[in-house]
Amino acid sequence: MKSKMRLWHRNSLKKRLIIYFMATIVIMSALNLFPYYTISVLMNKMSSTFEMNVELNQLNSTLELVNYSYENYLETKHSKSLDDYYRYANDLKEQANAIQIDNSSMENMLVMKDIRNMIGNYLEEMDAAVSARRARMVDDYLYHYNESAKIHEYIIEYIQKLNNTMFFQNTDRYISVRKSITLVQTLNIGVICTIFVMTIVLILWFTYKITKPIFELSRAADEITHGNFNVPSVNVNSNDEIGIMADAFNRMTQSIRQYINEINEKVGLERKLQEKEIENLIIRTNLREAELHALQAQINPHFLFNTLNVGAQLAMMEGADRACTFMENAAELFRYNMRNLDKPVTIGDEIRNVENYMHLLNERFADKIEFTMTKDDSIQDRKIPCMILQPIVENAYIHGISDLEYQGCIRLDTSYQNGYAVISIKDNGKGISEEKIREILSGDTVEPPETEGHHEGHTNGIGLNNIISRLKIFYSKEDILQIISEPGNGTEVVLHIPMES
Amino acid sequence: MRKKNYIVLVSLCILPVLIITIIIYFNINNVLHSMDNSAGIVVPDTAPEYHFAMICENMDDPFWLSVKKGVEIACKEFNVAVEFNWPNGVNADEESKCLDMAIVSDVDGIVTYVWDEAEAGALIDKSVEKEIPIVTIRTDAKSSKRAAFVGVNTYSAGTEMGRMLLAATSGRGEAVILISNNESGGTVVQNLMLSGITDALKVFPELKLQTVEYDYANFLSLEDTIQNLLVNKPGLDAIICTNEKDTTLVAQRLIDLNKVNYSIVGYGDTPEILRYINNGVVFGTVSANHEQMGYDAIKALVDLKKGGRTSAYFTVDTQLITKTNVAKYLELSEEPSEE
Repeated sequence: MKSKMRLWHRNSLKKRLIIYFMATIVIMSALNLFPYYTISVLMNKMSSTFEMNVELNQLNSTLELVNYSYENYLETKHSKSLDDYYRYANDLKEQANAIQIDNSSMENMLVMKDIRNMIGNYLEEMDAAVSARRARMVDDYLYHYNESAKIHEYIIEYIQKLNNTMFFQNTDRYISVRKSITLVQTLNIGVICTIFVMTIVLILWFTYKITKPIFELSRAADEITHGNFNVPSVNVNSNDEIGIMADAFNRMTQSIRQYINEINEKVGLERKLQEKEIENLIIRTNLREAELHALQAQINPHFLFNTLNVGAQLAMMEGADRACTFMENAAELFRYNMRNLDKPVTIGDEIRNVENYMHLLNERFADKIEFTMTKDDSIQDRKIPCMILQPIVENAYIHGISDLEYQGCIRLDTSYQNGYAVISIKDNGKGISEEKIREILSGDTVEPPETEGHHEGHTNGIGLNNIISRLKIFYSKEDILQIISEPGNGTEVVLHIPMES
Repeated sequence: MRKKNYIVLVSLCILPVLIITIIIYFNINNVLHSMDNSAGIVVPDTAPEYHFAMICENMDDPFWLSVKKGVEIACKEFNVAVEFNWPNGVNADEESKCLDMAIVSDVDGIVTYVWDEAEAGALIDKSVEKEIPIVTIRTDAKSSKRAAFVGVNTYSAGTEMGRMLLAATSGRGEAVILISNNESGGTVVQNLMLSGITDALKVFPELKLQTVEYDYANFLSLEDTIQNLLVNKPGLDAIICTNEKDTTLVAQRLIDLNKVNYSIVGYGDTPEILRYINNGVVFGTVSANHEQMGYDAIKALVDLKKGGRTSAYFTVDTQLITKTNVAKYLELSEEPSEE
């Protein structure tokens, strides 16, 4: 019950539709009833006046019947005539009283009253005449008969007068009413036209009112199905079902939009995560590679390290100082190589390692290589991944200088420039083609299949791209390593290491 | 806002329908009510308290028309209806028939003129027996049981006319009195008036007075009579008419014949007669307030019905109208005619 009331209270679509239809039906019915009503009012008025004429005529004929039976009785004294007379006299009285002239004019009412009174007097006179006749009082009877005859004449005259008056009135009335019927007809046509137009306007208006929000909703829904989620919100200013629908629809589009945005954000995050994971994977792969090489060399270095140390002590005991220094350097180099690659070292450590390495090389190829070095102390303590400089220098020797006919030079310069520790390793070897440099830097060098003896001269198997990627990850920065070279004119590898992380 | 729109629209639909309905209703009602005025009965605006009947000589005479005006005023004032009846045709017993009909109709009261004292008197008595009060108007039946009489003092009116004739003719010359040979009511008035005139002229033997009769029933007969008079009596100075109709007719006739050098002394104060007096065609008339008579008659009946009694005589004063005072009457007569 309550919910029903609420439903009715709210401006529900059902209610509105019902009101619209009702309004149309009511107006159309009024349209139909109105002419019918007006015409019937006219007809009623007309017929009531004519009915009075008919009643008057009936009264007149009854009067004649009464008179006939009355005179018949007076003449013949027949009992049947007397019965007739009483019966008709009764009828006459009733009829006279029954005639209603209320809805005619007052004049006619007064005349009718006269007639009724006259009939009353007439009946009295007749009764008197009849009883006188029965009592055989001839004088009385004649007197009353004469009186009644006179009144009879009067009554007839009055009835005729009233009949006539009413007939003329009716005729006049009919003529005027005919005029007003034409007027009524014209007015009715006017009313019909007005209401017709009104109804059409109403229907159009109602239909537009109801369907407009539905149309907007459907259009918006259509756009959404075509993938455009940025539809403007549908505005429906009604609180019926369509309004509720539009509201729900607006909320739906909004939440869909929000949901899609969330999904997009998630996808972006996931992609970033994946990238990070790939990076981590690369780091780990590189480390493992380095570790593998280190492991490969592990047995040898320990053994060699101890051997070399024993050799160095022997050389010292025998007084061979050069051999002793050589062996110590070699031992140092091996020990450095055995370090844990995950732990960063300082630039100073790295340079010392390069010095050790170069010392060994110089002892091996005394005349062939000239190693020069400048050191900037201000950058000595900067952290750097382990085993960076030595492999570069080794590369410079193996790929640049080892095949030369003339004396090879390797130069290591360290300096501090604009917040960067700049480490330059330069040789005067055969150089690298630009193509090759690009390949190296982009990291996709196709390493030639490792042939036996190719890496013979290497202390460990760490390649340039390993170095590059380790640098990149360690400093989270690109372009740390730069290669300047020209075929035949030597190669310079420059490291720009940021002093602040 | 929305709801207002609905209301405006709906009322826009309903308004023309309502307006048109009202227009049609007014139209129909006007048609059906305007038709019902019949000349025979005067009714007040509301349901009448009493229903009276009035028997008059005819309805052409300005005298009776003025009386009717007075009756109409009284009807409105006392809220009564009055049914007018007059004999049509020249049948001798038409008058008694009219009165008898009114009696048989059991009306509440009757105003009648008296055409014949004996005949009317019998009917009046019969009516009073039936407890229908009767007031006589203009002419009286003194011996009957009528409750009251309303009338002009016709004898004094006659003497006034005689005096006016003296003023018009300076007491010498020839004069004729036109009288109708009407057998009924009119003659009673005429005779009284005639004796008044002759009494007034008794002491002036130099003025020769003659009565000329014409046939009342034939309206052409008056014209012939005037024609004959003018031809047969070259020394005629003055004509006396005893009623309004005659006065108007004679004046018209003389104008038609282009003979306006007669002194006409007449009766009545209709606008037409007043204009003739103003033009000098008619020397002067004697008149009375006839409307007052109608009013008094109805008032007497109402008094009788309500209080059971009224005064037995209502007389209306006569007045002389000549060129000197005609302007006043013209003004009076023009006002109601414009209504």
